[in-house]
Amino acid sequence: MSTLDTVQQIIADELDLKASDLDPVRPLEELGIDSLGVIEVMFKLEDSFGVKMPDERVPIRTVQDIADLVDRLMSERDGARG
Amino acid sequence: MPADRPALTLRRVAVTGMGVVSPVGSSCDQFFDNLLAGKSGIRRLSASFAGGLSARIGGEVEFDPAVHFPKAKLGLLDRFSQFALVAAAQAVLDSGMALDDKLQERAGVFLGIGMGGAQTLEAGYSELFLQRKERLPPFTVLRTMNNAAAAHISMDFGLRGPSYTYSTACSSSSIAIGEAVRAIRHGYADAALAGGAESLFSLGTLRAWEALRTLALEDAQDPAASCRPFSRDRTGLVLGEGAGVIVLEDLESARRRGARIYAEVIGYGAASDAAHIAKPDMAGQVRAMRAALEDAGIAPAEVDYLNAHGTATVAGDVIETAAIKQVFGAQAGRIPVSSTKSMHGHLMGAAGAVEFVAAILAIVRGAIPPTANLRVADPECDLDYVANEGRSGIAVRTVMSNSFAFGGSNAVLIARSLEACHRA
Repeated sequence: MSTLDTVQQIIADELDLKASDLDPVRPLEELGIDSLGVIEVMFKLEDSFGVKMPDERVPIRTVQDIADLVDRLMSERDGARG
Repeated sequence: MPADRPALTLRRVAVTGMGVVSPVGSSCDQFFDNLLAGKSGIRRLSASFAGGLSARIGGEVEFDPAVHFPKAKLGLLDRFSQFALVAAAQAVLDSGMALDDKLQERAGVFLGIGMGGAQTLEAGYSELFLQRKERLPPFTVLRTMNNAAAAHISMDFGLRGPSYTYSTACSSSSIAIGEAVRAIRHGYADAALAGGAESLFSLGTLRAWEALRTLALEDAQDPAASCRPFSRDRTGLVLGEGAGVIVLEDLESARRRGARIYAEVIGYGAASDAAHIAKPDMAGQVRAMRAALEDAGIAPAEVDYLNAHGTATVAGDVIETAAIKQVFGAQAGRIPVSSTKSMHGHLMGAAGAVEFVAAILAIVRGAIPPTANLRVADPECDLDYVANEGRSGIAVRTVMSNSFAFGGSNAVLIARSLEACHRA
């Protein structure tokens, strides 16, 4: 499963939505995901991917933005290990 | 204040809906049927951590959150807020009230909460301290804050009047109901959802109570009989969880809409001990009962049933008995006094509310629930405690409910059947 697939699945599980409805490029508000929903999802993603979300505010507008952020954090983490 | 309301006209306040979530049942009928039958909801706690406790008993509520809330919403709700919302929904449904835009604008929420989201906080901190996690679940603050339950009720029902949370330990929800009555009386709101909620069965909270040495020992033969108010063999209080919420309305509005009116709240008295942080004080209790009687404008002898604070601590029951004698004088022995805590346990922030519901149901059903487990007479507790057997088929017109708190914040509520109010 790609990062995007996994992110969609986690969002769906956390927020009682259907993964197939989570269009990666539509604004999150249009998918029924508010700021608290994003915070809840980020917390789950930290556990699932073993990454730590940055404390500084990263602009997140879409599901794709979330997947991209997770990819970036994973590569930074693996880079740091290497 | 709208111009059409004359100043300084005190309004009367009706109870038109009631809801309970309790260890003896989560509907008013089941709740009162079990109380009247003397059935206890106290048992061994189910949690795995309970095994090490010296008192592994409590009044736990049988409750499946998934039945009541979608998963996405549940993430924001500690168990105390879940209970409060379920009790509020019962009460609103029961009232038959149409919450239109005009009423929503003038309706408030008044809740009593003891320790709020103690379970959420403890679970979060255990991840921090034990699992060395660096992050707490993101909704820890929103779930834990004491006003979370009132906020969710206000949001769910669109109530845009005042929303208050009172935290005065064991008297929290009696004070919440009393203050809601005053707000309606004085015109700050036309209706209110008032009551309280509590849920504190977590290892840390139970250990904290254990350390205070006020909890009952488990009855080896019958854990359900561990709470024995006014009985000489009493050993302390048993914690319970749950919620009670009532719908309060301006009596005239309630009449106009043809509401079924359970009772009128005619008296509320609050008074502080100003004496000791934990030890109950007779003078403070007497002041609160007298203030409520004075507020109601009735003589002590008019009280047909008193739901006692009656926690089953060794000292507390003696002091409450003495306070009742002082207030009721020669009549004290003639008034049925019972502690339903013997069956549902001490619901802390929710105690006053569920006990006031029990008292109002005594009016509605013409029946008085017993003090269960009163096995051995105590010469220092010599009132009519309705020992072990409930009484049915009697006219109960006026009821009093006592709540006396750690910290010395005492509150007493008096309700009366509307028929009795007309005669008066």
